[in-house]
Amino acid sequence: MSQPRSTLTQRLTRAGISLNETSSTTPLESPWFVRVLQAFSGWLAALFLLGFIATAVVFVLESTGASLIAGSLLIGGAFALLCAARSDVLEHMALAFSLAGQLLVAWPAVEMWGVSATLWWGLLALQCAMALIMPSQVHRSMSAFLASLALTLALATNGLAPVAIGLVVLVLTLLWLNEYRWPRHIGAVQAWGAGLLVGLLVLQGLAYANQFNWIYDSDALWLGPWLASWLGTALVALALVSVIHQAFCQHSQPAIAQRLAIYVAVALVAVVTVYVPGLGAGVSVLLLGFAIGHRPLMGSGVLLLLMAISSYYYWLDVTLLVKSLMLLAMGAFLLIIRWILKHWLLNRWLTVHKPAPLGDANEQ
Amino acid sequence: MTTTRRKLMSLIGQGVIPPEQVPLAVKVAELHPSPHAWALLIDRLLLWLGSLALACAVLFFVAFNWSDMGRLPRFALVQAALVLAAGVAVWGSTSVMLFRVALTAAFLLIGVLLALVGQVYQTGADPWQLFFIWALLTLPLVWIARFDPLWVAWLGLLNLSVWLYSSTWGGILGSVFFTDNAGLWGLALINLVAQTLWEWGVQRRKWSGRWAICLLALGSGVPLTLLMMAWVSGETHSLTPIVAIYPVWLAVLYGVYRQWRLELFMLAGGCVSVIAVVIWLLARYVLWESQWSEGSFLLLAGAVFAMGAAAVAWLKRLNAEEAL
Repeated sequence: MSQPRSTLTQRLTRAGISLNETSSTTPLESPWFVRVLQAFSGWLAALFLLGFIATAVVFVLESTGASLIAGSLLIGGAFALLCAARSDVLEHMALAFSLAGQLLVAWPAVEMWGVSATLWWGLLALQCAMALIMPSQVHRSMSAFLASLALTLALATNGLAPVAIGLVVLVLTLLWLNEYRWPRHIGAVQAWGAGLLVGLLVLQGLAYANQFNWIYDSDALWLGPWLASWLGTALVALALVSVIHQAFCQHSQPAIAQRLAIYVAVALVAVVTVYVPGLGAGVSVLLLGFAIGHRPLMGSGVLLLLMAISSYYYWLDVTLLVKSLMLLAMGAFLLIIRWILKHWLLNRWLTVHKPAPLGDANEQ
Repeated sequence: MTTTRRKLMSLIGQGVIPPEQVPLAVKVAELHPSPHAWALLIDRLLLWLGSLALACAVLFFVAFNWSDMGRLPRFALVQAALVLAAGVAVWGSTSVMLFRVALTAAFLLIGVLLALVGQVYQTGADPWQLFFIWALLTLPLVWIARFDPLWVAWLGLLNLSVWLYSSTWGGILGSVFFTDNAGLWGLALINLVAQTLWEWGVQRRKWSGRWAICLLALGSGVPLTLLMMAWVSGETHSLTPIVAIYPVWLAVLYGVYRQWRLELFMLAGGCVSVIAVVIWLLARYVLWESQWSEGSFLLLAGAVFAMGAAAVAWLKRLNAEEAL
């Protein structure tokens, strides 16, 4: 295992990068499933902690002021713990304290505003603040995840759930595309991106199960459903354009005709997405993962596409016959495009660009 | 397995690479795909999405059950699509990707054909029979495709048919063993066998697909954990097979993925399983079976803290060990 590490440093040195000596023993970044385990136990512990507060010091929950004070103290304690030491035990404890504190802060808000858009906007602000200030990767991911849920619920109240999902796709795309832009904050950017990715998977699942309908308030409708759907799709298309733009920047700029053809393809994906919900998000995340060499992102893109096609079967807006004809047209179109591209562009690309030695992140 | 991405992240995190040279380092590490890789991806994506859209079009059409179309044209349509997929597989077998795409489409179309038989002739068969026969008929096809996602889809069919069978008929071995939660037993068994076989294939036959093994481990670990939790919440702690099997499963998981081959994902899964079972056991005795007090919640929170932190610390140590 030491061989690839030294190979990478040798390659970096050969490229003229002056590597610093470090006495730091910063461990390797934990794999995602270790962070999931950490978050899982943090959540569970927080729930029990809240159970303790609810039974032992029930007056805290009965009084708005006491609940806010206790919640703020717990959040403050979590922040102090995370700043003081970075051991796993303390990180766990801080995570549970913070979650219990957030629930205590949210409790008076629920009593005051009920289940309304104001409540969700308030919780969104709280989660954004947590994602920004808490010095822990797991905490940042969890706050970003909860923020994506709060944003969607806030907008879903006004019938704008598709716009919220489009926004989440766009923000997570921009975060991942700029992960190396601020080297000192690389961990935070990746943590937010990971949280939003999990949020997107959950949100799409909820959208397919029509779980936003219960919150929908028809008296406070901001836009017509069709406009909300188009707006959400436009945001996803913007994310797709950002990914393609990044890919152009990484390599030689293509001719204007080729660039135009690609943007027309993006517009087509957007139009089809309105009639096959979820397709654009799947394609965007898949291409994003490929563009930055991130396998879990690519896998999530494939998962989103599979979810989209299986939920399309149950989509009630059009009949199965219309869906069948749409899929037929789409399939034939994609295969014809492939045939044309293969003869016009791809074969030339494949021969002109000799296979470069790929990094292991790009192995297919 | 430490990827280039994680190694680079580690170097940036340790401050080995100066911040201003990070963009260059990313370029040198070749994290971003080459134009050649992009061309390959676009080619494959168009092929996969196009072919699967066509296969799904046939599926949706059959599901629509259009009464204006007779049964014979309907059969002819599905069979023609199947023959076309088989033809492409044979004709295009020089291209591995085309071969696999065609066989995947054929795999789906066989299921569509079976569903059409059920729709037209109203055979009265249980749903599990459809999925089981589908799995049976497509086994040779999946075998020759040698394609991991298709194997996973095939195993998914098998899981589904066993689950549906158990929901309808109960246990396979009659009233002696495994009658309670027969579906969970079925899933655990199938996925354990598949995981063992796949692991053997990876070691001895150079098969690929570690991600699939992880998926299979989830497919066996989740039912086993649920079975153990069901035993914990049972009225009496009578001796049932799960009491013997669960610790053996944990021990084998540890032996194989710690001693023989280090695989953190499996060990993390084992940790989650143990935490869930122990907390469930504690919750039974301190919450709903005793005169619980406020301290019970605190005890449970402490137990979760301790176990979660210990598991994460252990996994992080192993992660560092793996990277050395």
